[in-house]
Amino acid sequence: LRPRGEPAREQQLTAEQVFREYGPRVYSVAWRLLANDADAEDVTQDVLVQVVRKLGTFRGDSALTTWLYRVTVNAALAHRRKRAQCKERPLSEPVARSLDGTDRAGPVRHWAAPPDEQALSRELRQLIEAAIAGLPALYRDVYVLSDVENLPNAEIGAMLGLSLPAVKSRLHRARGLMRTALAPHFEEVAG
Amino acid sequence: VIDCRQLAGLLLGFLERELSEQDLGLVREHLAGCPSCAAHVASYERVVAWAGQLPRLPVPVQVLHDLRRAVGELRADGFSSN
Repeated sequence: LRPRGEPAREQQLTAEQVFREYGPRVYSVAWRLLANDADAEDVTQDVLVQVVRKLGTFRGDSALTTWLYRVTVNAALAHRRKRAQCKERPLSEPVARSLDGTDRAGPVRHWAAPPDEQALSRELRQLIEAAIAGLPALYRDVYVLSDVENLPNAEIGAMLGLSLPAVKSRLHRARGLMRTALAPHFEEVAG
Repeated sequence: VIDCRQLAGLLLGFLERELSEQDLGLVREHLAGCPSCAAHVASYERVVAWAGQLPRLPVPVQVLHDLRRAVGELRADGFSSN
């Protein structure tokens, strides 16, 4: 058995398969880490060309996936360092007003609404993406790799050069910041 | 029985599912009797769950176009990727 949608790996992937299967993963990580379209596009191109060049060296999908994350994170961090000033993705005005709390007239929902009301709407996705982009980079990196990409903390620590306690601490802080950023849009249900 | 301040000290371990049975019991007992902390934990867990539901983003068409061209240039240089 193999994960749904994963092709057998008896044969080497083609470049088109790499772009289709791994491109969105690479682009999503880069876009969320860098909070900038152009930088994410540069990183995606660099990483996917590297993948195509090294295709013959991987044994199995897990090896490729692990390597892919490491290369993507390294490329994104290097890109960020090269930037004298990190260009943050501009937020749409309504999202920006929502995030800074100046728009209190928007819909207020319960944090713990029933699951069938919790599917991510386009509006909610925008809010979450904007909140992620608004995190300080040191928290954003850990948050994206952990809660969005679901990577193990130990692997995140290895990628970012952090101890396990440091990863956990930053993750806890990042989640708290996310909660704070999103709180104006939701109301507590506690009595 | 622990108070709200003590709960805060155990929260990270609780959310990472790393507490001992004894501490886990203390946290559960507190949450059962403290709607405010229960709501806070629920909202925190909701934030975590939402992040995991974010979709992957499609690679922009122009980037795919540039990638195909780059791979074509690799092939022209003698590289084979099938």
